[in-house]
Order: sequence, then structure tokens, then C-alpha cells
Amino acid sequence: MSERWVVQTQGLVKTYGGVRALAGVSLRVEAGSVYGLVGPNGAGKTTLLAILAGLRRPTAGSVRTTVPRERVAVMPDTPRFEPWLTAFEVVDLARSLIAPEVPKSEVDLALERTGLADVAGRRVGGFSRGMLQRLGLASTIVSRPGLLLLDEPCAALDPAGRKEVLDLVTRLGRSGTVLFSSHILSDVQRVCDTVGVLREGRLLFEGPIDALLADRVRPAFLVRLRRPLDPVAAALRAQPWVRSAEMTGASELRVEVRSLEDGERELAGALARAGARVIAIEPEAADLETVFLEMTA
Amino acid sequence: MEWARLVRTRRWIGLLAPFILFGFTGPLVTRYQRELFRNLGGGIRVIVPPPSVGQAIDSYVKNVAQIGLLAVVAVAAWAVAIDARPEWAAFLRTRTNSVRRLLVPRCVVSAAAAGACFAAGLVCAWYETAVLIGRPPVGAMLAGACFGVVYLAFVVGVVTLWAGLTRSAVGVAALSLVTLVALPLLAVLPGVEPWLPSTLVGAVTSMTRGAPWTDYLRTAGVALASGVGLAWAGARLIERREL
Repeated sequence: MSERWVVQTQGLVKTYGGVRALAGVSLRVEAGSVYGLVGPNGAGKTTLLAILAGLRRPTAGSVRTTVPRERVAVMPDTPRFEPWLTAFEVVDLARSLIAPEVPKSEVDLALERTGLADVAGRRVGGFSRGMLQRLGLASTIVSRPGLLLLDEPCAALDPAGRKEVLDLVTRLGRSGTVLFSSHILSDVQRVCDTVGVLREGRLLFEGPIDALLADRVRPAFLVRLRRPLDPVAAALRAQPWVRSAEMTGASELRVEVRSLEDGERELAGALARAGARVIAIEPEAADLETVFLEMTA
Repeated sequence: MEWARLVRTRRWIGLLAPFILFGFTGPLVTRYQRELFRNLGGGIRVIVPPPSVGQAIDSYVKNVAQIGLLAVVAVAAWAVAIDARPEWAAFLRTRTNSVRRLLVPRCVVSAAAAGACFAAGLVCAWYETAVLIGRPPVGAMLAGACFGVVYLAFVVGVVTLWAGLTRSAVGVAALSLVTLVALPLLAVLPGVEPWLPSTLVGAVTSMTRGAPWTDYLRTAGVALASGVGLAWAGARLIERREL
């Protein structure tokens, strides 16, 4: 087995009183990867990140990391700072505490990369939640961390801000390792190469997103065509390799087939024989949200 | 950063104001208390001794031992309760391996600011007393100021210990005040008083009345050592606490 991991946990358990927040989590984060931790509220994501950051101790199990503690940077889901500090001072404080050898010019660069260069001199007391989240990110990246733990980094951002942050996370994944939790599954699907699905303190799946989706892909096609749809659907249902043909919209049919191969070979011909005026045919892609809902239901 | 905390949050005003206020009003009230009582009326005759230097300084000390102490405890509590806001605590604690690195400047600046305010108030009291009553001995005032500063460092130590035992800044301040108010009560136990840091509060008064400064050396040593010890224990407790 390759030793390119950055974090490895073994049977991680955390209980609060009688409540078990983590129930034996064993995960492995590869170096240079962007690892997405997904799970419903209360799944244990924040607890897991807090343990990895060293802010909480596990009740049982172990955490091993190949990155020195001072090179692990953490951003909580709702960053808060001293309101009387300016944005520059917050990031500079992070730099001076964790990496004093990093030049001050990196502070400006971090603020610029997170879109806060214009408000560098402003006190953070008046910042919106989105701006605080960007500032949290700026103060984590300024020290050039080897492992970046981000708890819901896009939770308070507008679509444009989310795109910027996700692009930044992708770039950071090239120079270091990023582990981030999110409930925005499209974000995870967009930037992560590995995903861990957590539910009630248990890791239900860990691995490449593609593998997660491939395992659960259904042999189905979405067919967009001109009306009327009913005769076409009836003709398709008569085919032995078709399991079902349902209207999913005014001009869309969902055709579930015995196998993808059958569909690829037979569907176009069957549609032509039924006199269908076809606009588009595409295999139904499994998305993370559907898979996630199935797994955590 | 700790100086910035005091200045930008304007906490320095809240800290300095009671010391300056009582520095001027303490000797003033002492000087004119006979006239004040005379004008009370109602046929009551109050016998007041003539105002003295010791009385004037004592008036300042007694006032700041209450309101001034409250201000010092509040300022220190809000500085050293680093876990009061978990998100900010996470920011700080994941960026340094040592809580002491975070606490030492907070304790030092809080104690220094409190000591400076106490000394500033004492300068005001000295001036006002010199103008209205008579000139207090400078040596006694200087030594008294030093003992006062040592006591305030002990106060910051107590506050830091409570910051290790509880998270909220309000809780830290309240528990510290209860501790500091209760501490002098131990003086009823025989032989305990010279060891109690709270004895230092009255050192300046006693010395203006002629007590030798060496009387308070042992107490100052105890206050300093226990203040540092309490702060160290507080730091250890914070370090071991989960966020």
C-alpha cells in the first residue's frame, strides 16, 4: 500500500456524555488530494475535523498525520475574529503565530486571493458573514499549510463567492492537501477527488467520487422528444430489454433498460421505429446528491 | 495586539477613570469632610478628626479597592478568557502549540495597565493631598505604589486561574471578584494576615503613617509567587481543555 497519506484515523470514537458523535471512523486522506467529507447535520463532521485539528481528543482510536501540527490550518464553519482588528491584522496575526518566517507580503497576497484586498484596512467588526468566511480562508492559506481543514467553507457565500473559493480550494489541492466538509454536494462533486460519506458517526463510504457514482449508476436513458410522448412510451415498453419508460417532463422520457449495452445498441432504432421526433438522448448520470440521499436515508 | 485591545476597545478609559477619579476625590472629601458633616444639619453633632495625609491616601485606596478592582478584573477577564468565543479560540489555538504564548502577553499587559492606572491614581492623590492637606512622603508613596502593582499582578493571576476553570468572560470576572472579596476574610484566622496578598492593598496607607516597607516584603513575595503560579495553572487548564 502506498504511504502517500497525510491523515489516517483508526477506529475513531468520540462520545459526549452518553451521545456517540463518532463511532469508529477509519479514514485515510491521500497527499495532494481534495477530500470532501459529506453527511447530514449531526453526522459528526465538525467533531471529526476538530479532532483532526487537535482541538478535541478522541474517546478511543487514533489519529496519525504526516504533517507537523504547525502546518495544519483549520477554518471553522463560522469564523469569528476580534472586531477591533483589521482584516490585514487578522491575517498577519495568523502569519506571525504559525509561520513568522513567511514574508509580510504574503498577507497582501492571501487577501487578494480571497477577494479582500480592497478592505484590508477595515476593521472586521462590520464584515458580513461571507466576508468573514473569506477572511478565515485568507488566514488559513497565508501560512502555506500542508493540510487544510475547512468546515463548510462556502456556507455563507453567494454563487460568485462560492466559485472563487472552490477554485481556490482546487488550486490549494495541487500544492497541499485539503479536507473539507460540506453539505453542498455539487461543490464536493466539483472540486473533490475523494469523498467520505458520514452518517451518525460512521463512515459509510470512502473513495473516489467516480467509484461511488459508478457503483450506483442505473442503466437508464433520458430521451427528449417532440410530443406526443404516449405512443413512443408505449412502443418502448413493448421491448423486452426495456424495464420501464416513464414521462418525467412535458417532453422527456426516462427509459430504464436491462443493461446500458442494450440501451446503447437498441434504443435509437426503437425510437426511430416508433416514429419519435428525437431531440436528444443521454444516459442518466448518477449525481452525488441522489447517491447521498440513498446512502443516508 | 494587547495594547491595541485596550486602546481600540476603549477599555483603557474604563480602567483608568476610577483610579483618576478617586485619586482626586479621595483627598478632596477627606479635606472637606468636617464641613460636609457640619452642613448635614438635623441637630446631629459629628466629631471628625482633623484631616491627615494618611487619611487622604486611605480614602483613595479604599475606593479603588472596590471600583478600581472591579475595572481591573473586568479588563483582565475579557483579555484572558480566550475560550469565551470558540471560533476565535479555534483560530488562536490551532496556530500555536502553546497556550502560554497566547496568555503571557495578555496577563502582562493587563497587569501592567492595571498597575499603571493604580500608580497614576496615586500620583493624583499625592498631588491633591499635597495641595489640600500636606505633602505625603514620596518614598512611602513609591514603595506603596510598587506593592499595589504587585497586588494587581496577583489579581490578574486569580483571573487567569478562573479562565482555566470556566469559559465565559462574565463567569471569569464574577468568580474572580467573589474570590478576591472573600480572600481578606481569611485574615480572621490567627497568623494568616501577613501572608495574604490582599494585605498589600493597605500598604501605601500604612507606610504614609510610618510603617516600614520591609513589613510588606514577605506578603509581596507571596503575592507575586502565587500570582504567577495561579496564572501558570490557569494556562495549563486551558491547554488541557477541549474546544
